[in-house]
Amino acid sequence: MENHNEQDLIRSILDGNTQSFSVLLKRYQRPIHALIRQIVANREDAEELTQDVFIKAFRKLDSFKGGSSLSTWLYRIAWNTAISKTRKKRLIYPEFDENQFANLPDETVDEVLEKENDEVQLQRLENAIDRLNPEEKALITLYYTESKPLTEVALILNLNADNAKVKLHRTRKKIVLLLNNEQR
Amino acid sequence: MKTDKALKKALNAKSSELPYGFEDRVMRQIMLEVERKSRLSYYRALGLVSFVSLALIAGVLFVLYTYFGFNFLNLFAGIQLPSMETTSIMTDQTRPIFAFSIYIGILMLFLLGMDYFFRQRFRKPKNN
Repeated sequence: MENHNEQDLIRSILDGNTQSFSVLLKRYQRPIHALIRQIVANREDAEELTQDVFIKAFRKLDSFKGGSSLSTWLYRIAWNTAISKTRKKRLIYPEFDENQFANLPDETVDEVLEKENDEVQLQRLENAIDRLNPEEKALITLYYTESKPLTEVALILNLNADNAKVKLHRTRKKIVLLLNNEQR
Repeated sequence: MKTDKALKKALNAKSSELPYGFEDRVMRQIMLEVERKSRLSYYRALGLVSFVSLALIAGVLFVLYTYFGFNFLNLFAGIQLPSMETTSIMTDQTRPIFAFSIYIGILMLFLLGMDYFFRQRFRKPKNN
C-alpha cells in the first residue's frame, strides 16, 4: 500500500508538483539522518550530507524505476554520500585477528549485548560503536535501529546477503572485543 | 536473531534530531534546483532550435546552389551602397561634434545593454 502511494507521489513530483517532495522529506529525513549521523561523527557534516542526499534524490528521481523500495534507494544514496565523505578523511579503525574472533564464544556476545540496564556498560558500548568502521556502523544501524531485513541491508551496502550475515556476526563480536579492550 | 537490546539502546543514544527549519531549507534548495533545471532546458531548447534553423538554412542554400545553380553572391554584386555626401551641417568644424555624439550614443547603448544583462543575470527572484 505504502509502495503504491509512493509511486503516485513520485509520479506527482515528476509531473511538476514539486511541493509533494516535502512528503518524502518528512517521511525519510529522520532515518536518513540517523544513518548518516552514525557514519559521520560531526553533527554539522551529518546535517549537510542529509540535505545533499535529498537534493541528489530529487535530481535522480526520474531514474528510480521501482526495482527496490524507495527507502532502500534513498538509503543507498545516503550510504554512498556518507562513505565518500569518510573516505576523504582516511581514518584508521581497530582490527582483530581471526583467533580473537574464534576464541570469543557466541553466548558471551549475546549476554553482553542484551544487558540494557547497566548505564556504564551502555556508555562503553557507545564508545565501542564509535570505533567501528563505517560499513559496520551502517550495518548495525540499518539492522537494529531501522529494523531492515538483512537482504535489504545487503542491497543498500552493496553486499550479498550471506556476506552481510557474516559481517553482522563479526561486528557483534568486534563490539565485545572492543569493550574488553577498553576494560583492560 | 537476538534482540541485542543493549546494542539497540546504545545506537539510539546518539541524537538524530534535525535542527528547526531543516525541512524548509531543503525545500528551498529543491525549488532552486527546479529553477536551474527549467533554465537549463530553456537554453537547451534555444540551442537546438538555433542549430536546426541554421542547418535548414544551410541545407536550402546548398540545394539551391548545387541543383539550381543559384548563387547568392550574385544578388549582392549589383547592389551599390550610396556614397555619403557631406551636408551643409557637416563641416570640418562640426565633424568632431558629430563623432563625439556618435561615440556617446554607442557608449549609452553599450551601458544600457550591460545594465539589462546584469539585471537579468543577478536579479534575486521575488518569490522564495
